[in-house]
Amino acid sequence: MADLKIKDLPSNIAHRYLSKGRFLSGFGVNIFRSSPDLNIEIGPFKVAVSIDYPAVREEFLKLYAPYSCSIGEEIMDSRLHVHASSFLRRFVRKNVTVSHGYKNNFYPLRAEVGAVATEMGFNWSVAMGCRHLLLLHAGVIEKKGMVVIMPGASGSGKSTLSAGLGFHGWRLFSDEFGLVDLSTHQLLPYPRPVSLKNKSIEVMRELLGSRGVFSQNYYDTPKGTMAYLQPPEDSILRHKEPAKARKIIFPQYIPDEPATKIALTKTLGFLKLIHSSVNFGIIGEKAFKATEAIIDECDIFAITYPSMEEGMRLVNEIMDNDEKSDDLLKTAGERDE
Amino acid sequence: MVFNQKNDLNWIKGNIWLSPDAVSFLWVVYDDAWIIFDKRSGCSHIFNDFSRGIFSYFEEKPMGFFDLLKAVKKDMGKDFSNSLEDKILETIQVFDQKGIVSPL
Repeated sequence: MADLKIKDLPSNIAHRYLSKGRFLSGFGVNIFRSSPDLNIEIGPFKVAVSIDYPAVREEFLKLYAPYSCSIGEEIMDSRLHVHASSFLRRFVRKNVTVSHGYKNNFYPLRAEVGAVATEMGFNWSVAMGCRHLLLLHAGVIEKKGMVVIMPGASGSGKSTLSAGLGFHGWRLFSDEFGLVDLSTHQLLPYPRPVSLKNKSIEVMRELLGSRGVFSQNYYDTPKGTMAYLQPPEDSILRHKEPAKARKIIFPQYIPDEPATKIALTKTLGFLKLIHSSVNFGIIGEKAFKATEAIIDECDIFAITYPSMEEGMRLVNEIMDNDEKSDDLLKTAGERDE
Repeated sequence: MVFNQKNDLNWIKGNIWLSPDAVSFLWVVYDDAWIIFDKRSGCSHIFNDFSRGIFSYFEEKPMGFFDLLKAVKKDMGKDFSNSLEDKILETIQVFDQKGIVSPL
């Protein structure tokens, strides 16, 4: 069967699948359920999505246009429903919240920032529901089969840097989650739209110009002004191609300071990596072994950078040095033979 | 429960300390440290060579502080200094806080 993309669906059909006619969903009742689920597949996750607000659906269909989807009941990893917190709040002082089958402590947002709620809901459902993969809070990129993991707290610049590199010669695995297979210890791609905040929105708009597919700007969200950027199409199409980690880089954006790069010990790298994990403690032994395997394979660095250009230069430099040392080893091997 | 430092250390001195079965732990060794994963708690801890050395005594058999001190003195010979006594006591205290050893 041909791979169905969201963009292949006629707009009115896509809206109908996404809306599901959940007119009374605020009461937990799904009446007028006239259409099957719209399931979106990204990396290892398949999620059934339904969105009550037309404007939020429109933004979703734009950002997710190149993604694989399927129609109808299948085995899903989770179900994401974006809706008003009550029947009344669909019409009066409209708000939006997200249900995903896990304990719902999602704080309702204004309906105008419904796309932000949708993306946060996606993140939340992965963070809460994923127990079969080690989950790292990290940007992840790949080139020539070698993955760079860039763990970082919110505000470290990992999303922007990952996105910048994703549009300049690298494949973007994710700007938010490093997913580690617990058996093979490979990184799995999860290329969802890149979450951009505040200054990084303008940085990326300037960097990409008309090449980038951006959402509108969402103001006064819990994280300030936000916008979303569709990942490069190649990254989306190759969402089933895992790769091995080769470098771990802890990035930190520091404006008005010179760029720095230092190598870290394996011990420090190990500890920083498990601290960046969302579910290390829950998974336990297998997560420890996966972390050990990754650290064994990787060189570890911490970088600070004052601009996108400098950040990209440092990451490329680290990878180029690795390729050069590989070439030297190969040359030495050939000489020995 | 909150102990004051003095009572806490006396409590450490007065007990026999036991490490759980070795299968409860996973170890990773790097150039500068040992990382131990406690399967029971899901927590990871870093040991330097000194704390790893002290812990190895508990892996062999349950021990009280004074027996441990005697064993360390014997193994270190002339290299043992009295300042190590406090260090050993503090190390056991940390082991206890982390749940890596427990009183018998």
